[in-house]
Amino acid sequence: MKASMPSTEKARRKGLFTRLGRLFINGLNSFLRNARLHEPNNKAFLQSLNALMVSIEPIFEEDSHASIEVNKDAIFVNEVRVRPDASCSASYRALIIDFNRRGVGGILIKEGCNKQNLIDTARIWRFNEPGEESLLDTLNEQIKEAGAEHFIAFTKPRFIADSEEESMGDPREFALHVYGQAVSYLRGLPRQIAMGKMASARRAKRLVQSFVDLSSRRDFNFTALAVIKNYDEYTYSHSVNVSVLCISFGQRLGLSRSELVDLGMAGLFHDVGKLSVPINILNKPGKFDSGEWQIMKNHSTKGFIKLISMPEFGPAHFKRAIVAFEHHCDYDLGGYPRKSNPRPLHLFSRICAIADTYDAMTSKRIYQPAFSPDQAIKILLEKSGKKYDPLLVRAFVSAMGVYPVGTVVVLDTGEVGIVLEANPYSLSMNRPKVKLVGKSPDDPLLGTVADLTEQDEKGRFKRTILHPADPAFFGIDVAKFLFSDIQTSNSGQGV
Amino acid sequence: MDKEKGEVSDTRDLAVLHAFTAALARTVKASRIYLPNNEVLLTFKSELKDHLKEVLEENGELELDVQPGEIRFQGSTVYKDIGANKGFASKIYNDGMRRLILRQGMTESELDDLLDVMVTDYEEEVNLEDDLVTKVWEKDFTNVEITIAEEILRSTDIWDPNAVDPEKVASYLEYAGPGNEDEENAMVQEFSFLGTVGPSSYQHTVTMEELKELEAEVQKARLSNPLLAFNELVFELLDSDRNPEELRILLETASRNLYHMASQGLLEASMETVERLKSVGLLLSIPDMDVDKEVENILARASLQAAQRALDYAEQAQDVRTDELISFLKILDGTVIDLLFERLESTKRPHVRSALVEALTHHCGNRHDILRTKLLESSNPALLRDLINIIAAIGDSGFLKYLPKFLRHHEVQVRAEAVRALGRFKSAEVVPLLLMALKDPQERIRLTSTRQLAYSEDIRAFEGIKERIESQDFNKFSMTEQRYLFTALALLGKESVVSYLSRMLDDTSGFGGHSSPKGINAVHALATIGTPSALDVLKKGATKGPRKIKEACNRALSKLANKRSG
Repeated sequence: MKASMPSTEKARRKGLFTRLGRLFINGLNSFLRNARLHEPNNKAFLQSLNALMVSIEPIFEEDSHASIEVNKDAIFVNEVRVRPDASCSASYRALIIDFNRRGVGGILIKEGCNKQNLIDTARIWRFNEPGEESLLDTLNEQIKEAGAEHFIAFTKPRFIADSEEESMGDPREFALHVYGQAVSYLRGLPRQIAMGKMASARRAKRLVQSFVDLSSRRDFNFTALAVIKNYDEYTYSHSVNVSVLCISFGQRLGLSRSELVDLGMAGLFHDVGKLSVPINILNKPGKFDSGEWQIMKNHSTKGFIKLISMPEFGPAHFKRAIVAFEHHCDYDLGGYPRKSNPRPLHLFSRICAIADTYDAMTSKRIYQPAFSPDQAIKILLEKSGKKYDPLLVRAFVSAMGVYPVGTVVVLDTGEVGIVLEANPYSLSMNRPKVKLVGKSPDDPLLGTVADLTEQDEKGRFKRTILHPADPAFFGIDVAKFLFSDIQTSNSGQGV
Repeated sequence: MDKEKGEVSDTRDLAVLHAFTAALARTVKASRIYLPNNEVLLTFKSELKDHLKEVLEENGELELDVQPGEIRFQGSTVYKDIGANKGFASKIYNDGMRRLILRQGMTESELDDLLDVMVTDYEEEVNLEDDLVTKVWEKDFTNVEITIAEEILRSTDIWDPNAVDPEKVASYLEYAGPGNEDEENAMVQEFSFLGTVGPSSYQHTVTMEELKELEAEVQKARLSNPLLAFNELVFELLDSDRNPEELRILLETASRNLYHMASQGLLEASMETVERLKSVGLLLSIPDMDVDKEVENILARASLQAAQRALDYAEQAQDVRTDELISFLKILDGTVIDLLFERLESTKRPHVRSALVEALTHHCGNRHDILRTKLLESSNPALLRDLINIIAAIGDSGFLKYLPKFLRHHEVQVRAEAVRALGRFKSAEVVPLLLMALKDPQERIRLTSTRQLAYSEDIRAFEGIKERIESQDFNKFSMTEQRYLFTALALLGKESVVSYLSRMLDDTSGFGGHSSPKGINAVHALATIGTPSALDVLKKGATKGPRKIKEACNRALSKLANKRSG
């Protein structure tokens, strides 16, 4: 009765190691945490040791080793990518942070490893905190000294191919396609509403689900999508950007896949009330008079009413409507619309307010030029605690990096580059990946990506940021440059 | 017993698959009808799990093809709909499911997720934002694979391949960066007080403590019910000036909220919503709109639906507070009466029953017609008991005329309820009826009736009780009934029966004296009366009477003394 599909074994291992891997991740994290807190004869430490042994045993029934490898924001157990669920999300994040801080790729435990080997490993882990250069070598040398080298090894960071990702094709091309679809969806929304049709959120949900898939890819910097700006259709592209930023930020906060979709949908619809604001007011170059300002301020409540008149009804829908209502309410309960009975804002509203402001500030409007990303971050920090949740602002900055994606930077080599990917690790936040802008169209360095953590043979950094710069000064079209090698699926034309 | 694909399945294999697919279809259907913790559904689920385990243990993996009206395995039909286009297979086919693969290692939660995917009615579900594609994505199955029809995946309604004009994509990439340099410089100047932007100018990392705080924030958001915050905002807007169209949308949403709150057993919030809806009608005045009428209509409809859902929840859940359920059912619109009666006939849960009785007592306070009709029409003993209870709680003497027939009802419990109800009517009309009940063949009815008569302060009651004590059958009564009669006699007669009781202590009185139970009961009755003359009789009995009477009198006296000393 069994169907012999080529993917059967792969699927079986995926299922098995997802289940066992979550236990292993919890076991290892608890063990290493206890190793830092307690002496080896401590009861809690010994309990976590036993729990770790129990979590490894079933893996040895399948393979002769049990390995955990941290790869960017993902953990692989015996080469199978394990997605976190509610049972292990905290351990998952903690292990990623812990291993990345130490520059260690993972740990390999071989069959035959005993409790003493693990106790020795815990001791070594405990006394070798991050900061030291070539920590990985030190760890493995000490493992050898303890006589555990046949059973335990710390491994180098490496890229592990994920079969799921490989099958999805070029993520940037796909991302642009989804982005375009999302703008098209929003563009069509007022027409549908005007015609009395209830616009279903079904299509939007599929698009946001695609965004969430993209956000977890390790070969694509999803946040870069928010660098795309569209001056003529600002309201639509801004909404899509807010959705992108919300998802990206929500992922850092450890939200689940379906929560990310809810948050992304909330971001996409947060300004739906603006669809009924006359275009001459939206695009007014000067200051609003009091009537116009009132109309602008009403977009939050209008958006709320628009959303509740849509046919959907459920928790995700409630959250969307709450965000539409609250995204201009301040953290200190000021802002608008004023509530007669002010209560703390929903988490999604606080996230969306930050993403909304960040994207609005970094977009050129008829009434304001665009701020550079790092300027926008600075302003967010200045207003945190009043307009914005200070903790979330700090987390947002931490997620975006001190030089957010799209920032034009001047390097100590004299080169100019655009930040392509923030460095999430605290000690290296000022060392993102940068796409180099050549000095001329035929410069061989044009478009190459430089990792600013790269060092030369003497251990000196090859490139360091001197300061951020105004893209106009260099005549750089940031979004176009970041996506310059993408061809649209429809036309085959380079953009 | 693994077989290669293409191998002809044997009869047993097919039988196992027939059983599994039938169980799957049955469970999906039941999931649409019953609440999650319904016993029938739980049984079906448990059977389904057993079938699934058997199938996967034997075969490791199961690949089913979904076709219109049937499900096939390797070309053999393993499930067939009975009616065309109406059955389980047709439903999942129409939803877009084409192939279903289940693998060994499938967990219980994956099975629940699969059922959720199959149960959702994508065409009629209120929450229209999901289709099969979004739902399957959301589940993120590991051991389940669902192949979805290409036309659903590429549905033009959902996914427009021509939506992105290449020219447009190019225009998205036109960076909207600085245009007017002067303007930008001015803007940058405005914020120049912020100083140099750069890694050293601000804290850019999150500490471990802050990470924990963030995790707690996320957890708090997970645990909070967005419906409550959402409802707050609906009323926030209802309290402000709105145009009629917006007001209708908001009122409609509030009524939907009420329905959902009741479905989740959030009775306190539901009550608050009803109260606030009522006040909207009172407070708002909008030109060209009868807000009061609008609210009244909404409330009538919403009340009925909310009551239904709250009662559904209360039937299943363990965490319902009866007092909250009562309060909620009471504040609803009177249109719920029929529903409450309907539920009263069907409920098996005592706390729901008592809530319904209380709520009906409230709602029927000015709807006697409905009660009268029910009293006349109902033959269900349980319902009759509740109806009698309700009319007694309302206490309108107009209902008294319906009670005599229940004193002759064949069900003891109905008669008992009728006697109890009579006692709650403070009316002289009830005494003859209670006296009639004193002759009921069932002792518990007689006891209830005696107790009710004891507090009636009616001379007819006294005479009736006395008659029972003096009847020839007295000695056949149980000790309890004898004691009840004497206590009632004492309470009704008080001082006037002291000499009558005193005579019963006398050995030569002809009442049977100390050798009869009457002597001892008389001692208890005198103690109940407790007046000085009654105490004198007891004291006398304690010194001069026969031994058993002496002992009884001494006990009664010491109890009284104790009572007095606190």
